[in-house]
Amino acid sequence: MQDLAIKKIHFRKLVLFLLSLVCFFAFLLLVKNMLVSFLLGFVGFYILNPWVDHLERKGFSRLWSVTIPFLLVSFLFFGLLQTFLPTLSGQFESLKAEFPKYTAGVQHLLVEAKTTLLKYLDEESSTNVILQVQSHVESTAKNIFSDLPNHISNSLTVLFLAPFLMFFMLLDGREWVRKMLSLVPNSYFELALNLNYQISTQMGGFVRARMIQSMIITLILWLGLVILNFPYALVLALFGGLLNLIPYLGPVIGAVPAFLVGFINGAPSADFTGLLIIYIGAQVIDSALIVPFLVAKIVNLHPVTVVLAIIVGSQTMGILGMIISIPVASALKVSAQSIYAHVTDFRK
Amino acid sequence: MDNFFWDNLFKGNRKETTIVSALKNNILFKDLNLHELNILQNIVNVRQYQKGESVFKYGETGVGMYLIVRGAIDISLEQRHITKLREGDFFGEIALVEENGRRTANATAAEETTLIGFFKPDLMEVTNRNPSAGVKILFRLSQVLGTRLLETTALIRTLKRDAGLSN
Repeated sequence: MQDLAIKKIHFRKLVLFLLSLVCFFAFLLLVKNMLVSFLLGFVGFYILNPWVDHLERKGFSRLWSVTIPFLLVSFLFFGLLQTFLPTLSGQFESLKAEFPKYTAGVQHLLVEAKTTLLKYLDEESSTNVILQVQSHVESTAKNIFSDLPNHISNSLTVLFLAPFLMFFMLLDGREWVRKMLSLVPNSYFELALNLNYQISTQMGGFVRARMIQSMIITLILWLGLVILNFPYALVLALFGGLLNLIPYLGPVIGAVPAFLVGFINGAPSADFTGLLIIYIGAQVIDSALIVPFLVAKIVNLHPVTVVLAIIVGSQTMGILGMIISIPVASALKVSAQSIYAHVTDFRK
Repeated sequence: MDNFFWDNLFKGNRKETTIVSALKNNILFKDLNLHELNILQNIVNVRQYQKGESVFKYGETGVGMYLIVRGAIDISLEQRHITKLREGDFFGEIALVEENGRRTANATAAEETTLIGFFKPDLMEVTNRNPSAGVKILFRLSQVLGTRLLETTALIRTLKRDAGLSN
């Protein structure tokens, strides 16, 4: 009788806990800009948290420990924005103005590709392939520019919401987690607490490593493209650095726009050699120096799992899904391992 | 004979019931000053248990220890009652330092009980936020585990002597 009453309490608490989690994720997914703002806030939280803890160890209150790095990083961010925004917007405006040239260039490349494809496929199949690629390229490019005002307004919302969320995650995040954990029934409490700790530690290391990696790659690409005097150097480097967050496929997709710009502008072959050296060089530095020291030890996923996670991520949430698929997959792996260890009965 | 391991060798004042005083009265936290105790108070987990409710079962993964603020806990193994722990007692502290440690007995609330849970992630957080407090706790934890080891060694010696074995 007593057992039944306890089981009922556990069940009610578990339902309440799971319901709170579902509500939280629904809020993130359904409120416009919330997911991206939350993810960026989370990235900022993991980057700043070691500094905040360091200041707290030095005897500062949590509020000051959060406020000081927050203000410093805000000044740094706006300083960088002030410095690079004119260049970035100039390059973007020029890209927009020359857009018809690039569309025509891509069409031309597709016609050439069709001639090559005809050697291997019949007329209908090659036309189909080309039409599909063409419509995809056109719609993607059109979306980027036609939705530009929308993108900018979303970016501004995210730009204010993400730091706001980050500040309160740093200040009160532990309290929020404690409140959530207090809803967990006693029988699952240790498991939930330990799981939260393991995932949080792993995510922290992972996010910091990937951010540093992405920044180094952006810097290498930018320096290389500037030395090469290549157009849109900053835009292309930022794109390459961002896409580098996607394992295996990211670096390849990240290099495509630079080569397309080169082809369409009829760049000399020396420029292509330069581009190859820059992009391959960045990857060599990444895999020889950055990954072994920063990333490899943090997330231990099998390459097949990585590729599957990226495919699922791209199918559900596009590029954002591809970027967050690996941390999500590794969090799921840690959870599955811990839950398995917890539920396995070692009694003989 | 089983209950020597579960006996509280470090009992404090049973009348104290607030979280800070319960922590202060425990040997692991007795060296902490008020500021450190206040930090700790916001890190530990206070949990309520109904009579008959399991705190943990034999064989489960354990990540920390429990301190009894109010009520009592029955420790048992294979249907055998080993001991009853009361206010101020603590149990499960080996799990704080074990890698993938498993619980070695069952702990069940003998009445309505309030426990303070102090787990590995909490110990890491204290050490990270206030290394001095972390060192004080770890030092006391080593002392507790050392005492348990001495007690175990003494018991093995007694058992061997009783069984007529040399060494």
